[in-house]
Amino acid sequence: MATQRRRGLARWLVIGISGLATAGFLGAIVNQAAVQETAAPAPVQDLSVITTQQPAPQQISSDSGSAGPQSQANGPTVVRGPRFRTRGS
Amino acid sequence: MSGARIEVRSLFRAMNTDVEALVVAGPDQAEAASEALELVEHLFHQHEAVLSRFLPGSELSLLNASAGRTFHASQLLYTVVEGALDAAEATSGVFDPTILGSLIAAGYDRSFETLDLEQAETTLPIRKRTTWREVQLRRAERAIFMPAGCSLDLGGIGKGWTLDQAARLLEQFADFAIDAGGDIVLAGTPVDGGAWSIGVQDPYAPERDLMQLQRSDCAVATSTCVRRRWLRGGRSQHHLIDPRTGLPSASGAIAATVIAPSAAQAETLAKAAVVLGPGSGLRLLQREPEVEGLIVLDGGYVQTTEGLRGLQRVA
Repeated sequence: MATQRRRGLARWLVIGISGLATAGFLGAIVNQAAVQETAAPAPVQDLSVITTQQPAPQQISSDSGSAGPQSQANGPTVVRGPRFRTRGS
Repeated sequence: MSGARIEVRSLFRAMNTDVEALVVAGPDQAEAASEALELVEHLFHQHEAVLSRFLPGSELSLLNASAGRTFHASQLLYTVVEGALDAAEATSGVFDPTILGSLIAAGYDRSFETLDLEQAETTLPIRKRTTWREVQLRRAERAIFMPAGCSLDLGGIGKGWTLDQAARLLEQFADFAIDAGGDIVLAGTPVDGGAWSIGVQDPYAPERDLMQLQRSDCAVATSTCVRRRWLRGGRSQHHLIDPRTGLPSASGAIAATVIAPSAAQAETLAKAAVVLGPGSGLRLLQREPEVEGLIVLDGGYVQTTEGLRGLQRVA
């Protein structure tokens, strides 16, 4: 496996620092060649709070059967957005 | 700040998809993480150059052009072909890397980004004439023999294999994740602790998730026939070929998401589950150890394996 490193490309890395009270963590964009932290708090995408509808009661079946399309909401609730999404290709 | 951890992230494009790789580590490991992520990006580009069927000069293209003759492959190509044949055997041929001829006949003859989505061609797709069983391997020589007319598509399993190898490059860090176009490997915990959260996109409503998974130390992959569709002679086509017919799958399933120990396994099982459809597809997932999954059927109905029961949909 090649281990050749490629330097000098304008590729960006994002660094987040955890453990900062309620604000979540700081974010900083750094160049790969010089990792630097910023002092300014920044919104963190993966901790974004989204409002969604209340999950319906059991909607999904096991092998023994299948469930219908999603039901309507019973009321708003706050859930945390997923860090990743699997969506198929 | 005692105990702080940082997230070092790399974004790049490879294999016709967006890739995000990230490492969670102590601040003193930032440079090492950065270097490891560079290697991950290099690995993706290197594997694409070997495994892409869309690059005329790729080693896979050379192999496909050598059907009828013995081809001596690199370690990488040989290993992925061997893995693809193993996956074919494990799925009783429902996953079959030799469907490329059928895929091209259905109109998917170039990278999807450049594909004519309304093809006037009216000839019917050809039925597949070769199967994975006709591909012969000799490991000692890394020799591959395919009969004339046989060709391989390693797109899905190649990406999965690359994800698994990229994960090995990051093993020195306990906590990391790599997302290649929705195929994901996860290890350890995110920067704020807990488990990694993964939304399973609703194929009928891409802005929504069917459910959210909390997982770690596993791979997640989804196959769907909804996203890559085109018209050929006025008839809708998609890229998930049923090897039993040589035609785009019409099983009644439109998507499958699989959680498995490796990305290559998740990729191949997801594809096979869509092709098999409800019932058989779910049984395939349930019989595999350490595998969970769900299958989305026509109309939005969802079937899940036992381990995903009780997870609620996100409306």
